[in-house]
Amino acid sequence: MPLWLDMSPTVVNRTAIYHIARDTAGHLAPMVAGYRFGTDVRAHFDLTRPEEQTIRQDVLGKIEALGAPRSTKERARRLMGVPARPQRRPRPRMLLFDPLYVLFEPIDNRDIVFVLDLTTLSHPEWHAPHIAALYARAFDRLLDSGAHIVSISTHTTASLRANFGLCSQNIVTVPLYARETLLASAPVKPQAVLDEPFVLFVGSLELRKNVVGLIQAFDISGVADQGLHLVIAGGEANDGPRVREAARAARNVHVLGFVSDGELRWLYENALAFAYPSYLEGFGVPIIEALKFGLPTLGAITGAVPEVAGPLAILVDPYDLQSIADGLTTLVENATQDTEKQRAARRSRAREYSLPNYLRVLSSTLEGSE
Amino acid sequence: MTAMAQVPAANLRGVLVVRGDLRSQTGWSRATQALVKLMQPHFECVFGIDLHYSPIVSVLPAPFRLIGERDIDLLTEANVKLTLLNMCLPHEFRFVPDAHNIGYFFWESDKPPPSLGWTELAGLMDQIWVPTDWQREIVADWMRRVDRGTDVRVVPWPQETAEIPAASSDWAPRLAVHRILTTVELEHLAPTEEACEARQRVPRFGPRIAAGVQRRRKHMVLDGTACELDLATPRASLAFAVQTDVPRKGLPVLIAEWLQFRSNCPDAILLLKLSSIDVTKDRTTLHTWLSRIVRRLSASIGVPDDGILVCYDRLTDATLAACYRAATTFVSASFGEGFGGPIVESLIAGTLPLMPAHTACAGLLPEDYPFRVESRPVIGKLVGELPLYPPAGSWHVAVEGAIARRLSELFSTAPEMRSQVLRACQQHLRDAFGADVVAPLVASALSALENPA
Repeated sequence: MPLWLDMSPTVVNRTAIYHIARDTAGHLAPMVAGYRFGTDVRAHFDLTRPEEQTIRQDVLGKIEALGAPRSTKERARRLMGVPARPQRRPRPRMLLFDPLYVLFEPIDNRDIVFVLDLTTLSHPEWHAPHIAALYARAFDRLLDSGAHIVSISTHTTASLRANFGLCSQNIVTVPLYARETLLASAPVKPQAVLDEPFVLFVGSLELRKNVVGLIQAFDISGVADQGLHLVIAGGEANDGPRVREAARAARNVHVLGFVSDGELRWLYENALAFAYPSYLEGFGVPIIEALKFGLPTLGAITGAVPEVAGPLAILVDPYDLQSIADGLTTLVENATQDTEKQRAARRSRAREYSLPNYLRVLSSTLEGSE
Repeated sequence: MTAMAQVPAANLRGVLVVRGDLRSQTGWSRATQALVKLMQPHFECVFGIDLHYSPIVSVLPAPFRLIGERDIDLLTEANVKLTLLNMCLPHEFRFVPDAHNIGYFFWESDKPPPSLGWTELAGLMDQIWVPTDWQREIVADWMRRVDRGTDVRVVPWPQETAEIPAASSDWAPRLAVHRILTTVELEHLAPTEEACEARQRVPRFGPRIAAGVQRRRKHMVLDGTACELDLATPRASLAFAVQTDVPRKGLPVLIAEWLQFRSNCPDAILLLKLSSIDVTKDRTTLHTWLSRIVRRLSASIGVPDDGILVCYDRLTDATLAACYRAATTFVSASFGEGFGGPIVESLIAGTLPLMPAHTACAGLLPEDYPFRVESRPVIGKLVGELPLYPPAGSWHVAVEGAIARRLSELFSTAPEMRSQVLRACQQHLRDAFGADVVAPLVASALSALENPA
């Protein structure tokens, strides 16, 4: 049966899902019949920059329209071209990388939908209210449809089971991977980074990532007194202003903003350690990237980090500043006595989460669900 | 000689003020009454402060004279020897200087809420009482973290176990229930094939064709239909569940497991007593919610007839006991329990419970209980969970298929063997939670208040 990929997330965000969708599309190309952007279907996905911008506005407009008040629903429907009733004509199977886009067209039990995490439902306060409301509708539609779900971690699978009773007939766990393209770029030192030892955080400045908690814990841990710095690399998001304010109030904290792959590689290669006390991760791609570079790592007891990092990371309660601070102290102590054997163990762990492994599990899932 | 008469009074004599849920039918309220019954002989009089009065749920008469919070000030001003039992969550604890302050609470998670100041308030108490060893360990750990040496003791919810199993009765009422996802066959008038063809030939906005109809039958799946369940009718495979809609009770998991089990046991019936902790939710709202869960899961698991009967009524204790007795097992998929009252109710009624053994309810059953369900911890917040629960706390979710397997095993176990297991469970209950076992613990705790080490 022909397969369409819903590539809408690639034009509206630059987080992990962007890379997942692009990598998947690149490798599944022989079995893909079309690529959907919003409600438009194309034969190819190698978009040029200007065209991507046009599609981006179109998809964002459609998402906006989905959240419009009831009185303008018809207008939204016309704008999106969504038929009022489910289409009866046969259509290809659809692989969607984000549940949000199930709202664009009817789905059924032949389709496959990625679920990265349930935070839009379990922690709506971390998201814009209208986006959380759209996801609530999207999940309702997804669960009613009986579509297959691809979960990116055992934790997300367990959450789907605990909250909705879903079982292995409906869900398959396909763990993510560390990006290979990161090593393809030459390392470039970011201008704002001093020649001092530093602990690295990589992630967008969103509330869910607990960057403010990390900064405050870094401050109270006293590791700054040892001459250590905290470097935060990541694009702007809903917690940006608070993060910058907290960084200004703390010692030795540097917020770099979005960095290129080359700069990111340099940061991983030169950091003393990696700290990522995010409140909840569906997988935690930066954790696996840090392990790939052999870095001593701190993560949270919540979400997928414990299963991804295993015993190789120091795990802290992300809601407890003292727990993070104590973890940072231990992290720095361990990092100063780090051995090549320990670094090799971390790299070995990261290799378990490779793109080929991901593609192999995903391909067998696609074949099995036909 | 009664159990109480054997217990030497702690020689406190004074006034006991109990703050808590005093007039509802909740576990908290029942536990409060059972505990105060054992404490009463140690005091000259007992007053109560009903913290959670609601005209809808506070249906029982007050067990002791009720006073207001301000009356505590009057008592202290009058130099009355005062002991305060805070039978509530720690953020509702009240600390009274110059009084003995006891905090008693049930809690389902391994962590306190992040921002309610529980550990600070609990640290003010002279003693913290908790119902099980599991809670003693976690609360003692919280106290250590804030450098408080608070005396944390296990004082179980006392159970009147003396009557087991003589309490069983033959009384079995008829219960008003709803059958979920009932398939009904309806006769309707459908256009004949000729009429359909003729209609297609007519221009889109042409005259309607009314002629050419035929009688047809079709199946419709309704959310549910009302019916009665006669509890007196013996059934080989009836399971009973007492559920609320709070996420930690794991209703979707229970339904999924039930459907898996039922695919191999098509005659089995699940009687579900469902209520909401939200008093504004009526039975229609609950029914719509439940039937949507069942509809989704039965479609994905492929079980067309779910065999679920649901009761939304508030039941009397006698009717509830009759439900337990009529069932072969009490089943639950709860992710965390502060005690596990329904397990006790089930054992007292003579029915074997089947649920994951974790948190506080792990200790309610013997170590070698054969129908324990394996569970795994899931750290995090559930969808729609009360903000009270810690977002980094652990829940324990039954391993997929584990409840279904245990149901099969339990239903296929010989009745004599089930009776033997039941007797062992009831003995365990007497040994660990019987009122005569708890009474000395209460006396000892009260003595320690008077004479701290």
